[in-house]
Amino acid sequence: MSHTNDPSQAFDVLDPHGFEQPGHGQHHSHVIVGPFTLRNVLIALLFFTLLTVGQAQAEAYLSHAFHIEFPRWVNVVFCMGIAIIKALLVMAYFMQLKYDNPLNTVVMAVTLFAFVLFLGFTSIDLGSRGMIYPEKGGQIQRGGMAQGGMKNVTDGHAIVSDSRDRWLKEWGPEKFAELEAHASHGHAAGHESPRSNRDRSRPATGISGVIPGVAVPDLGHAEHTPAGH
Amino acid sequence: MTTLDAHTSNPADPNAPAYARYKHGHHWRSQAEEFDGTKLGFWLFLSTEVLLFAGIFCAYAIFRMLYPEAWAEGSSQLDWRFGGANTIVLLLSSYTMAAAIYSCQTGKFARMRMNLLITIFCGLLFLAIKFLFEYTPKWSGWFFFLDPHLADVHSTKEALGGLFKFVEGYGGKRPGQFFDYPFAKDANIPLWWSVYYCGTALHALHVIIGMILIGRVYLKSLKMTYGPTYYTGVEIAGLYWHLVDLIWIFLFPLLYLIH
Repeated sequence: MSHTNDPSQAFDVLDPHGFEQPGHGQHHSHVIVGPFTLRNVLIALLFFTLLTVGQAQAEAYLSHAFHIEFPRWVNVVFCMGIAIIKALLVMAYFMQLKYDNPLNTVVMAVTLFAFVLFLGFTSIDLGSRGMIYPEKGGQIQRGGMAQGGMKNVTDGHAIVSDSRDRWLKEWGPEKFAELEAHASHGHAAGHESPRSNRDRSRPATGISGVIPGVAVPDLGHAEHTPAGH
Repeated sequence: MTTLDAHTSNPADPNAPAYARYKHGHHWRSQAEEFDGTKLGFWLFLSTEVLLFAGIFCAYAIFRMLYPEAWAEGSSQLDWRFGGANTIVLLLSSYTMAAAIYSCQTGKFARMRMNLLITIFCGLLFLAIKFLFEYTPKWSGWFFFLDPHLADVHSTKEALGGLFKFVEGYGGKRPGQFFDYPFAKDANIPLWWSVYYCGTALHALHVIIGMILIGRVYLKSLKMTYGPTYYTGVEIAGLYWHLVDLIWIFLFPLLYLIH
């Protein structure tokens, strides 16, 4: 693209980046991976195959003949390590990523990163189940059970019923019933006229008082009993 | 290592071979851009293929973590000799495919066609080993007459003029609800066979598709479609075939070697 910055050349409005200039598009050459490179890569791949099969066979033999047991991860790490080396060889030389446009490598690297994410988060989940299963044990309740942590432990009961039981014990049944009756009315209970006004459309039950000669019922604090609900 | 400067085609010359008369698509500025764009597009497709197999690899990993005993028992019922033979067959075919691309780039057309044919033959050999020595006995108990296992077991009947021999109590190693093997120890072994058959059969399907692509390249090479100045199709078929090899490089140790 340097030729477009060359002041000696006239700026072409139809081709501002110089794509149509002679030479553009032919400037880079395709690399040919030669037969000796390919043959050496094949030999390396066959060698690594032999190595990984040999490792698995040797481990099985040692375990069978001498009862020498290796930790399970040795086999896994060895097999996967060699598989990754083989895959890199195939991608770099047979698939020519080493000589190619780096963008192709970026595409593959992002894909493999996504795969690592899938596998990584799945492993974290499966590997930490042991930490949450004791906490989640027992019957599952609506609204949760407040097991451990900063909350009260509800001893297998739902949070709501546990809270009710604790306050019932604290206040005794009479005070509890009185406060519950008060609470069940809501804030405005008994303090306002049931009739509608300009701010609120409210159904006025019973006799509304609009008819002359009929008394409006007293809806004061005296009506604080659960009766009628 | 040699480099080849991108040639300019000469579509005007009627006597030139087909590859030299190739004219790049009108929406590309040059043949080099067409080549690069096609390759990038195919790498994007290959990334979706990798993610397709990633699902199977994740299933393998999850079930192995959950049921390690089932995985150990399942792996012990595969013969590494067949898997190893198939690994070598696929590695050789990857080499011949890469050699075919090299021969095409350097104009050695007879060698290119020979390498393509060897690659297709290796694909057939891979499928033959897979179906005759692995799938058929495990699924049904019918052994191919060349199977080395027949030396250790007693076959009760024959079919197709002795081509297949039946061994009682060996078959039935099928996935999921089709499981019918009488001597399994772990309760979760059907899951292992599900992952085994899904992974290897999906891979075998890719082998078949790859052979079709390479066969198409071979037929076109007879008409001199590909040569030193135009070999995009050969490279694309090669990339697909190498992906098939790449997947097997991971399937082989996971299924046959990790115990």
